[in-house]
Amino acid sequence: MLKRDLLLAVRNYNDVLIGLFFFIVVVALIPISLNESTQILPRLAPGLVWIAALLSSILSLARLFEEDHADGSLDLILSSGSVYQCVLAKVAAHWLVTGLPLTLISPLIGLAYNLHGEQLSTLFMSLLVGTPVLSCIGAIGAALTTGLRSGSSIIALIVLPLNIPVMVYGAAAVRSSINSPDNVMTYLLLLTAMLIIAVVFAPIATAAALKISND
Amino acid sequence: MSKQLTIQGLQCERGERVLFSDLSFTVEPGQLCHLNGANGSGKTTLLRTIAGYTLPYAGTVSWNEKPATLSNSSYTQAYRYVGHQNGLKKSLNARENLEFFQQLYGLNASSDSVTSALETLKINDKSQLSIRDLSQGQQRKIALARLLLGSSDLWILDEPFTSLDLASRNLIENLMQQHLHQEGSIILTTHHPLVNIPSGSIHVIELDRE
Repeated sequence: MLKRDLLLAVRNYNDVLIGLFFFIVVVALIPISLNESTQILPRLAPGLVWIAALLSSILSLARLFEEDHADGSLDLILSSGSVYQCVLAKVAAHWLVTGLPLTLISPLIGLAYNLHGEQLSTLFMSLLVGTPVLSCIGAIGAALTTGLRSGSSIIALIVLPLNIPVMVYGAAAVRSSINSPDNVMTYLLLLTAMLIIAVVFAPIATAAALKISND
Repeated sequence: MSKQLTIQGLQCERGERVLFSDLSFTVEPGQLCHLNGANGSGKTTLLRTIAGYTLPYAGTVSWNEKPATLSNSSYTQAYRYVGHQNGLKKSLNARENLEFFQQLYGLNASSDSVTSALETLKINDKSQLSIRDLSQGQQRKIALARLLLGSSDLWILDEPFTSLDLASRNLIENLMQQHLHQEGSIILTTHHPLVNIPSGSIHVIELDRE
């Protein structure tokens, strides 16, 4: 399943690039539009990078199950007896093509925002642990709206509020690396705890939601 | 244990409309159940209800006297469903699609059984082309090749002959005939006459009774 979704992503690589470019454009536009001095940028960076990551993750969520629903393969997945594994694989593939590339370029974005050393690695770590949570929670929203006509806009309404805790702790980790480096580990561990809970439970909720949506 | 599909007092709705109610019948091993009815009489809904995708408003579907739902894995492993949509990924080729279904059905990945399924349907020479580049009929045949992966007891087919030419229709009918011989059962909808299957093993259900 993971192999299939990654193969699909490679064949339809445009979809992958759009998410990444969206992220880059958003984080690049904000300093330009604010026209602020470089002193204020490090203070803006944690929140802005995390908001851009969240939006870029949601951008691609609508396609997570929609195509499988439209071409009928969702039926076959649901009756396969390995729905949990399939959902987990699809979420993993979603993260590998959206969250991971964004995490990998985040140190460059950090440099552009005048972050240094420890702060850059914290930004990287927080996104590395946090973006999979965004994919897990997002999958629930995508599953609930699969088959609805205005699904993609409803996903944002469902998923954005649910992702607030991830964003708060993710941004807090980066902010504390600037102000009080001792607390960084606390936030990162909290994010890791969220990740573990999300990986275990979100696919169950997603599979249940898919069964309802695929009526 | 008899591999029997039992439908009891089934009522299905679409929107607010009752499609059929108090529908009861059984499908025995070796039997082909042909659902007959006009467009919109609920044939597809009935097939999706039997496969467990849609929940009935009232009544039960059971397999070996156990509820036939998606959570009953001995049931979901026993049937193969080919619906209106082919369930194929357009940017993958036939082989990649079928290998994925092998995993989905819990079978060992074996390119030999994919090859033999494709050869049986006389489409193996197209196995490296992406689905997008195949005709509707060829796509349909690849979807139907799923029936030949591993073994199954019940085939649930929604208009299997759509877009197929006469030769392919006969081919599929022969495969159905073989499946019935091996004590398999089939439930299908079709507007094409079934010419090669002995009428003794066909059981017709009329859906528009009103």
